[in-house]
Amino acid sequence: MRNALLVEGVYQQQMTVDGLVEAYPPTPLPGDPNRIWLTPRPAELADFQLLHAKINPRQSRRPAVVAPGAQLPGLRQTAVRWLSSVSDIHFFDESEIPQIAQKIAKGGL
Amino acid sequence: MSARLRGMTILLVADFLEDVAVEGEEAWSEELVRTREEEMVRIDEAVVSLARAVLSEGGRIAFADHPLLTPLIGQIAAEYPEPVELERPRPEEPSREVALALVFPPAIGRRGSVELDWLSSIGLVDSNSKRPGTWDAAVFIGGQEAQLPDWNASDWAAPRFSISSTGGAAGLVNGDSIDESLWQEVSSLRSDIPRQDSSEIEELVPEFRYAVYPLVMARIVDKIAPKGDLK
Repeated sequence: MRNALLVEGVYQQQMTVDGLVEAYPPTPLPGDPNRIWLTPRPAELADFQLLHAKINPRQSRRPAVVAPGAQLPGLRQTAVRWLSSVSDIHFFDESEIPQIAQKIAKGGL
Repeated sequence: MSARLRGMTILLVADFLEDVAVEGEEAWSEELVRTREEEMVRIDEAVVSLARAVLSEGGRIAFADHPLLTPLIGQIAAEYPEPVELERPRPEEPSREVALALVFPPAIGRRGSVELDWLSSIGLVDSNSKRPGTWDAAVFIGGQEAQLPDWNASDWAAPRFSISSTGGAAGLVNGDSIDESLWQEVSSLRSDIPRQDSSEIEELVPEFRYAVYPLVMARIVDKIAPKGDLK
């Protein structure tokens, strides 16, 4: 993720003590940084719980969970996608890392 | 998710590295063990990154049956199902019109894993096929020098990409080696990350060589995807 951000010109980035990747787009925008939580296993409740406390309701940018198997069929992943929608936290597949970095570089997410 | 590779087949040519004999227990130094582990992780990560990049874009992967590749790619193929309107009652048995992976018998050497029949029975892989006559790109990962003549065969007209950092034949085969240039690019960009005061802990991007593979594979997809069909 951090390499993808670098390639897109996002130099203002860091890993926080609680394991989140924080990134600021190249063109400064008001508000909090983009916060991304990456996990090497399929996402579950705890992944969203950590990020939920970081949501700033006054800004449009939302944190994101990146995990493998986001497109998996089945009730379990359907529940995770529901959790993503009600918690207002993006849920991306691991294969989308380059596209996520592009969006952050443009001030999105 | 987009489908820029819909209808396209990517040939994956990969294998373990040469199994170099090491005499005596003392020869297995900590550094040698670490090097061997890193080689395996590179191959594994490169294969996983390629599979995710291709399958998430609706493409198909073709490869020779292999004890490492078959179960690994079969598992990843399960993550990218064909869209269905309703939740399937038995999600572990997705129904596909076209399997996402074509597994053909290896020309030489060992047959693949015991999982092949099972993966085939649930439609994740098509194991009844011969090596396809044509493909849209070939990607070379790892492998042994003895395989180089076959890998360099002149009738492979489609674009060829070698992941040379995975070593072995992939470091020698004819092909576009974009991972080295991308690694150099990323390495040089790291110095542009603002550092905190020296009194605080200096925070660095991990130096794992394979951390760049998702980007490498995304660039390969960008190169082979039909232009003008961007999402």
